[in-house]
Amino acid sequence: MMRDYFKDISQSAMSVLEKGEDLSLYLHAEKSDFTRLNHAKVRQMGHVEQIYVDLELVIDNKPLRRTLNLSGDRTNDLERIRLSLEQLRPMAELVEADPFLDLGRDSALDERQLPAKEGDRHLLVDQLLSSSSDLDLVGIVSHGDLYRGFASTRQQFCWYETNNYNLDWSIYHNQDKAVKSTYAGIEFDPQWLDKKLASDRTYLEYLGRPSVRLQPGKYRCFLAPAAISEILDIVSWNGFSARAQQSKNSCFHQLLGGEKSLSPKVNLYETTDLGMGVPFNESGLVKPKRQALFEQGFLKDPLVSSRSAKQYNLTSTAASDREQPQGLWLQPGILAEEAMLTELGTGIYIGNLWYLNFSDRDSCRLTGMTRFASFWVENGQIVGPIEVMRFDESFFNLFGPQLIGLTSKAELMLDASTYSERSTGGVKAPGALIGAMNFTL
Amino acid sequence: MDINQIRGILAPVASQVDYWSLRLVDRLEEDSCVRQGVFDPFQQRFEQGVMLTVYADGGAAYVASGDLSAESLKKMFALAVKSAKMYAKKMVFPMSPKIADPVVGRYQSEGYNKADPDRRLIREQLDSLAKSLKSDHRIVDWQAAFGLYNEQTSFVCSLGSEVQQSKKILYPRLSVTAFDRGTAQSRSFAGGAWCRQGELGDFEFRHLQEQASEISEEALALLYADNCPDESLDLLLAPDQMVLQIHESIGHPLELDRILGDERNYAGRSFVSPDMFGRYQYGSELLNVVFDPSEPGELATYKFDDEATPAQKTYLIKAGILQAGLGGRLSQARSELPGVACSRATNWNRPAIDRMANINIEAGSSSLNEMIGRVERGLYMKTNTSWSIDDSRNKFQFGCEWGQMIENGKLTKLVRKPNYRGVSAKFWRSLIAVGDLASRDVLGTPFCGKGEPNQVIAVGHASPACLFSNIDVFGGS
Repeated sequence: MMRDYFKDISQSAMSVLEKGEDLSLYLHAEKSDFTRLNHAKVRQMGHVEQIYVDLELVIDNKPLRRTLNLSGDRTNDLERIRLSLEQLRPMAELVEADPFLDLGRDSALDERQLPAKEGDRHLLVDQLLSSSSDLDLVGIVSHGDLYRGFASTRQQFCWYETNNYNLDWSIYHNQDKAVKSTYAGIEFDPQWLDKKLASDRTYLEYLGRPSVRLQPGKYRCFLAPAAISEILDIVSWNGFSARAQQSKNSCFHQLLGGEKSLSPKVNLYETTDLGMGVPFNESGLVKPKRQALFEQGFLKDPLVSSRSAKQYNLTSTAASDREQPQGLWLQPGILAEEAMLTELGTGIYIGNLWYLNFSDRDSCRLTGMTRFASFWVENGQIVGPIEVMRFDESFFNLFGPQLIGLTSKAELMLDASTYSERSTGGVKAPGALIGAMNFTL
Repeated sequence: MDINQIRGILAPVASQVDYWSLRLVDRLEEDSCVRQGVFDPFQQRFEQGVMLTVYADGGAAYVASGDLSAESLKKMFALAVKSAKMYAKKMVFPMSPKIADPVVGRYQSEGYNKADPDRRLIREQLDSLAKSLKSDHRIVDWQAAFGLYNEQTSFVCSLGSEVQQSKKILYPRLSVTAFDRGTAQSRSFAGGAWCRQGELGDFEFRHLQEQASEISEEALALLYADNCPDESLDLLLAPDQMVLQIHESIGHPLELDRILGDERNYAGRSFVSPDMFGRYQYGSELLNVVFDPSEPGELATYKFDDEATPAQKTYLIKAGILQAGLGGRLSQARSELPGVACSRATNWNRPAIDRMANINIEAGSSSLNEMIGRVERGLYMKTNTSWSIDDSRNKFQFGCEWGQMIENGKLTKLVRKPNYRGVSAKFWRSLIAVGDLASRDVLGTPFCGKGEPNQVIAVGHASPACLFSNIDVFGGS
């Protein structure tokens, strides 16, 4: 239904264009239920219906952009779009032709649809609440329809639609001692949720042990997949962006040219074929199913938007304007998960990292905190939870000489982020055994 | 749709609930940017939407939509009532309208009704600023941008409250990156923290021109500076770093919803516990921190929060002692702790939660030169570039774009990549001097993230320069 609506309003919008004008529309819409939980009860609950469309009107190679939110009523919305186009036209006098504009005249037709199904948010919320009534559970249940669409006067039409859920929670033992879990997907399985909660309960036993205060220094560590995801997230801010690399703002600029590299165990890809990310960008260009970002430890080609392609004479990779990956896949290694504590021996098991940033962007040195289920391990046995520690370590070290190995299974973690709209991205990554990681506070 | 029409539509069904409120938001945003001498595509954002909230039988639910028709409002109401009643017995706290008093009022930022000057003014200024930024061939990236944001909110509820608030926000940004011999150094105008309510016609572009030339020269100078030393020394922080220090290690830990545990799955908890209010020595006696929604021009100045609670200046920390938290009327009722009118929502599609607004440090009596003069060995840092703190808002590490040693009472050599780390609970007690009004700046950030579902909101922080003793600092690799 939303697809028909978008086709209608985009075709109608194109019919009111003046001669020589080019128009594209990128739709991002959702019907979402959000239920916020604390102490295994409901803190806030609501339903949000939003339809945004990004208009790009091009007159004499001058792009003029306006994002509008719409009501879903075709007549009203077409009038709003028509009025917007009318208001944008005079703006062309304020700007000159854009030398980096690429209208992508090559036709890129791609229609993908994951059929939206009628879901029941109450089932998700009720199941989570009833299974955790004796626990101090806090988190959010997000659920509903997501839509992305692109249409242009260049006969492009792309569509993406899904109905999914994302349960993102923590269970607290006391103070800051907690275990965090997520459960996301399309088909909700109550039994799988109960298995997750049962697993959380085993961690609570460890979290109840006396906490261990570590002194600053270097420690052997195991980074669980969620911690790896946080690290990949921070270096994705600008690390893979063509624009950032060209303007020396990339944290990977020391790796450019290939003289320096990471461990050959590092193979990282942006991917759209694991259920993460929208398969086309805001310009209607279809993304490759898989693009290598690191192979055998070497930095590969950057993520290139249409604009950067024109500015730097590169080939577009259909990256978004921000040139950040949406779906990341870190190829697993050979270490067996079940033997990880034994492999770790004595050191820190890090369940999650938190609030990462750069200590020194030039050398890709990162800082951040341990969070959630992180434990001190001695001779392969969990001793107790650690008091939170700050690390300060170079990404080049962690994924270079200090990387002992990656686990053989990668965990799919769909992004629970809901800034402005529900994210479609995610990370699939294994855990990593690190020889030495530097902790400072 | 106006407030009377809304009342008319909801009147026939209002008896189904204990309370309803409706918040209507209109936003117009424009951003212009000249990057590397080329005008980026002109960008506007227009949106209008409504959030309806109901309380019924102790439960509560909200529904938000961009469809403002009468039919849509009726459907929203019915859905909200159904959800609120369904989970009424499973709420963290029984929701009651009794904790609110009806108010009627209006707020407009200064000069709100003045007509905007021709947009050509911004375009011409950005071109000129871009030229000033590109002062040398070693400048490899440069950008001048300007944001103009206009937001109007109307709030109406079944208790009879009617509040209308309108504000315009100006957000100029300048940044530059210099590169030589494998090293990149960036400088920016206040780290993106200069953003205020105000009127474009009153804006002084001349000040930006001075900044553009200055940061361009500074980025070049930093290329050849030594790394910041690794030692403990006195640390003097400029207002554009104090913004982050206040935000992360005073603002967030004092949020009552963190203390109540709502944020533990995402933004985190707090090292502050309920028993600390009224007695805890948060900082030295020189530390006076206010929630001040009345500071003219500051980013989060308003008369009412998004639940129509009247806002007034309140001491959060006085002479170093913790006085009140940052929590709106609901959190105050839940926690039985003193709070302020700070229940705010980022937009029409997100519910109000406890947020910072204007959280300011009051000026002291020391001039900047006096503070420098009393330091035997120290470091002056300005302009935040990196920020990280634990989920209890205690162990932090912050980095700045600019560092300059202070030796025997004088500013001496530049150092690059300056960082410092500490623990909130101890850090503010090491405050040994607070700058006077001349050293104060009114800054803020439009990008404070928190909440589930996530919300990014604008907050203001005014601060003088401040001097701290015996802080661990360090540099890059």
